[in-house]
Amino acid sequence: MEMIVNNPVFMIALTFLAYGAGAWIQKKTHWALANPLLIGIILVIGVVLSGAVSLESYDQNTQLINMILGPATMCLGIVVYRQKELLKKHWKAILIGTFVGCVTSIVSVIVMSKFLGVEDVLMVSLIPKSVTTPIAMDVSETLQGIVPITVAVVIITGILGSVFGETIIKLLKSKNAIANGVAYGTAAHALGSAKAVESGEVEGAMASIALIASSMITVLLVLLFQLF
Amino acid sequence: MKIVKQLIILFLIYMAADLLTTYLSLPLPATLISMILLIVLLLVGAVKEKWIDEGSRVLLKILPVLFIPAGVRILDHVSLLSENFISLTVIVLVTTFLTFAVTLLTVNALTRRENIHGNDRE
Repeated sequence: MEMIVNNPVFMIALTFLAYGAGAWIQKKTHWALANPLLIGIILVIGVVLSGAVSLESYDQNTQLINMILGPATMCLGIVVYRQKELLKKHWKAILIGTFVGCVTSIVSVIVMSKFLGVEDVLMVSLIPKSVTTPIAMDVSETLQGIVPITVAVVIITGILGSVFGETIIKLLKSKNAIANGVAYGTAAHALGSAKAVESGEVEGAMASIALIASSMITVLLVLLFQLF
Repeated sequence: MKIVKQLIILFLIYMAADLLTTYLSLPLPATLISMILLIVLLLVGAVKEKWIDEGSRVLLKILPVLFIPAGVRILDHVSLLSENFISLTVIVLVTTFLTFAVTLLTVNALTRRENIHGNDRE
């Protein structure tokens, strides 16, 4: 059993199977909560908790997936390139929207943390929660936060954004593909962008450009924040 | 073989971005630098869209699946997270929804005059 389970082929197959099951459930139920990524994660966590595979072994044997993650995320660049005319036309709205989103994210984390009496070290760990993981880790370290908490919260934020994005879009009755895309990229980084690409070409391009812009804006805002 | 050639081109561009990031100690992670590099290469015409269209279609199709291991690794931090479970949950939920909604409304207001419905594939 050990030999069958503890190898990359099994673990990668398990990962894709878990996602496939999630996609099937979403197709059958059409629930927002039945997000394939969320279900995939829950199913793999279930397998780990059942004791069939250990977390260390799953981690080691899915290195290949982590290696492909970089180049696959890079491909969002081609989605951006295809919408260059639309970007040129609306760059101001996209940039201002992303900026306002970044400020909202940081300020809301600070206000809510103070309101709920959360310790400062935890608060600063949450400040970069809407940007892509490597940047968030840098920011958290600069602010003397707890980096593992930041990593977990960044992923949870990405999942929440991709699970509930459609619900928020419907609630606010937005039919604007540019606005929807920028919201996905600003609030939920690469996970949101991956979801936006599924919604449409324009959404995907806007989310991807917002993903790049929001990371840069957040780094700059934190630098400013430190000066004062 | 077309898809293999395209994947090789994409991986080479990513490796170039990774090297650039390391050797120039760029302040952004390799993933973002690679996106920017790919956009620039396409804009200047050094890379043609048809050299990478199939390969990137495949990689983008599986992109959400690739986030699963990172999500599973949250298990590592369960004890850290559970100490402040309720306040963390409330903060993360509220701030994510708020950021999404505020960004959405801002861009909507700024682009109101034009009607942008996008070209959904489905």
